[in-house]
Amino acid sequence: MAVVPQETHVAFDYSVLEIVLMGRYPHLQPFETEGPNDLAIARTALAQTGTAALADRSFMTLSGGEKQRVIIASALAQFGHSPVDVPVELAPEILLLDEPTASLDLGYQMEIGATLRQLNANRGITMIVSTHDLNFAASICQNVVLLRDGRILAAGELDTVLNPKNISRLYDVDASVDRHPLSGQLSIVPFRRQLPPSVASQYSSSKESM
Amino acid sequence: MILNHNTKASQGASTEAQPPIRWRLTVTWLSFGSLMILTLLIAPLIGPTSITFSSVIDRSLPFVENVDAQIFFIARLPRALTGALVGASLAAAGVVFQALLRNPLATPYTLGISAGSSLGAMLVITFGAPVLASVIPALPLASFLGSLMAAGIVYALATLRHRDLSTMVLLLAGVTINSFFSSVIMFVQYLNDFTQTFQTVRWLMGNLDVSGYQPILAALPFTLVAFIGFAWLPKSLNLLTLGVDSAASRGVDVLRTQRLAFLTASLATAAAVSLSGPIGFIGIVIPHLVRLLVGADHRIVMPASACLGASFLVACDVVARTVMAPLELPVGIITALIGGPFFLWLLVRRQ
Amino acid sequence: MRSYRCASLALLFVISSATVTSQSSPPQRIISLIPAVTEILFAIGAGSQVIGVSNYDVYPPAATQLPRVGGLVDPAVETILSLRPDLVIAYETQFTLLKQLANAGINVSSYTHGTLDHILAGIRSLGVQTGHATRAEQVARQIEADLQGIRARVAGRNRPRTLLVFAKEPLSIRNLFANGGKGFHNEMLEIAGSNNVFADTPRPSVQASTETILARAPEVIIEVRAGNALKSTDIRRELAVWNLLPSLPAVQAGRVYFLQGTDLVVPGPRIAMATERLARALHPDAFKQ
Repeated sequence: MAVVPQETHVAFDYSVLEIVLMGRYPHLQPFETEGPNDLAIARTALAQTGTAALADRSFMTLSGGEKQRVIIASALAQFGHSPVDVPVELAPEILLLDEPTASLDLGYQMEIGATLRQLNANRGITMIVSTHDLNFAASICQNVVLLRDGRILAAGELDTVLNPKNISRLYDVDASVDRHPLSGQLSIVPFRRQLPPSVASQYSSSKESM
Repeated sequence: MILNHNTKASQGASTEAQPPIRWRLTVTWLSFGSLMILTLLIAPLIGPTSITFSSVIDRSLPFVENVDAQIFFIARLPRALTGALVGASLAAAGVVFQALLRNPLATPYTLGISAGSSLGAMLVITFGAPVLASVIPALPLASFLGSLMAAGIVYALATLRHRDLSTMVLLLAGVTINSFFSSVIMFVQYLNDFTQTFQTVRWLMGNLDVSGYQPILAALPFTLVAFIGFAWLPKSLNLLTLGVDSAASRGVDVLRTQRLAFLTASLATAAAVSLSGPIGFIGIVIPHLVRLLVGADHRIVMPASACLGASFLVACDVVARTVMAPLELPVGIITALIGGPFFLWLLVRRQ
Repeated sequence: MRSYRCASLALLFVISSATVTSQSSPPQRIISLIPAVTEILFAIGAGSQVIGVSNYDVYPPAATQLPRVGGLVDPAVETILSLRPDLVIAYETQFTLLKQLANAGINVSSYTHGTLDHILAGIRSLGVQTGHATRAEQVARQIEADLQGIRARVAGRNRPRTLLVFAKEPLSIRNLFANGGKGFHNEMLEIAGSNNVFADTPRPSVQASTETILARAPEVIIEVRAGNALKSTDIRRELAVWNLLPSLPAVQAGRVYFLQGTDLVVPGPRIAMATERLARALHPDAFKQ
């Protein structure tokens, strides 16, 4: 199991390749250094996240999206297959991602989303993503678990679980859930906040307009 | 950036390509190691009194009458060895503290160890130590115990509330201990008479003139233990840089690593400061300089820093002894005069 | 020539002190911030006129009973003022204090430590200032005679190269402070029949490294301490530390000595006594009766 944290701030000037090679450390003996096999795995991981060209760059100088992809590559290196692809059934790796797009702009968000979808399809990696961004979840997840106050509100397939009723129970907002005409993905748009009863009574006289 | 990132050459042969780490490690040990050895060989030959190597090794003269040999073996060689020991310890401890606190501005003295050491030394200078002074010289012993005490207090504070070692609390505790001990030191200094004041000021400037091998042998066990501990840290420190969670997911026992890092770095610093007094700038300048030269991988930074720290301090001591001969400047002045501007340059360069 | 110089120095001293107000009768309420000056005042018979001393005064015993008013770095101005002195003698470098007291209308007098001539001139001028000129002259003449006597006793003898050590780290020879070529200790060594190894260094004190000591190869080492803190077992241990440098002629000949006492470091009326102690260590056979 590998972890991709929300943000990675490195205090020192590591190169991208060094960071990805760190994914190999769990496979090394205490004083062993990485060998040619580890290097090959690292390069594959970089290729699979589209960051091969960044290998010799300093990690600190990368953009947010690039950084996240490198961290994902580092996690992939941890799974450590040989460069030959392995059938999906034999790939029990799990990737945990914590708010992977929280600090990224739309462009990078889509970049990460595409990378994750691709990895899931090509390498069969199971991914567990925690996120607040329902649209992002809709773009990559097959199954969804809704958590509120530490309790599961709903769980199941994406299309079934992400409906206006569940969203309203989750976030106290009224939202529309439609299928986007161009991408075919679920598109969630909030349009009204649900006010707590005490506050709502103060506004009972005014009308809401849509 | 000579020894830094992978060159295009090794990307050619794909299946047999070595990752850069192996040859970089070899080159690092060879280059920095030879620098250290070279410095240690040359330093004892230079000084305010001119001596010749042939007279030093002249066996026909009994040792007690051979002034050149006495100067070489009693005055200069121990001094060079002390410089190497202290320089290596402070530089390596600097690397570890910077990694532990995830802050490139951390020094071995950030967490109050040197303040504790100074307090121990001040107490002996001002009040004497009749009980201890029977067998072991009281001053180094008191300063060593003082630094351990400071480290203990900081560690206790940092683990008080949290089961884990909170680096934030560690830093705050260190800063607090530093300022608290400094005020106690000031109070003790206020009670000093003239001679004691001289001695206090002089001790605080740092001094490598140990005039014998006893002090080195006394500090050596602690330094060795610390360095053995250092050997286990580099990979874990690399992983910790990416964050506690991701390090844990890669098999790093985070708490144990942090504890080991704190203990070994504190021990190395305590031994160094009680041997030579607080010498500044090595613990912060050397790690930075080394990272500029070899990159950030701790497996390379640590041995390189230790060797470069040793060479640097020994070289500074040679300068201190000769630049205003026959006056000998305190070595801490030279490290500050070189370290200070260098650090400013580093700061400007980053912009 | 020497007495002319003394007289002119004495005149300078008197003039510097008479700048505030002129007094017809000698001061009766003197505060001294300088241990050497305190000792001089008591030695010349002006002890009853002293009403306050510094924190570091230990001699004579009568002085220790008097109120303390601080020292060089921390004079207690309030205490000084509250004692209502008519003369305060402070270090030349205590500018602020001297100015403050002068503004308060108090007679002030400044003093600098220096050579043996300074001490003698100081004794004479303090005698004039306090109305004990005759006694002061006697004291000064006695000191001069005593010093001359020591000179005579050790005349013609071999003058060993001597290292005079004021301070060092306990049980070690690190951070060692030795006597340099300037100041009254240098003269004491010279009168006592020896040559200071650091006579060519124009500073009152020298931080001597191991190498420097080895290079200078002293024939006699005398450690000097102000207090009486060390007992004989401690002294033996401190002396044994010098065995770290077996090539020193002093160590080979066993001529390492340890002397304690404030008379050794206070440039005051006991200076001849202190010089004799040095001479006894340097030339013990000259003092066998």
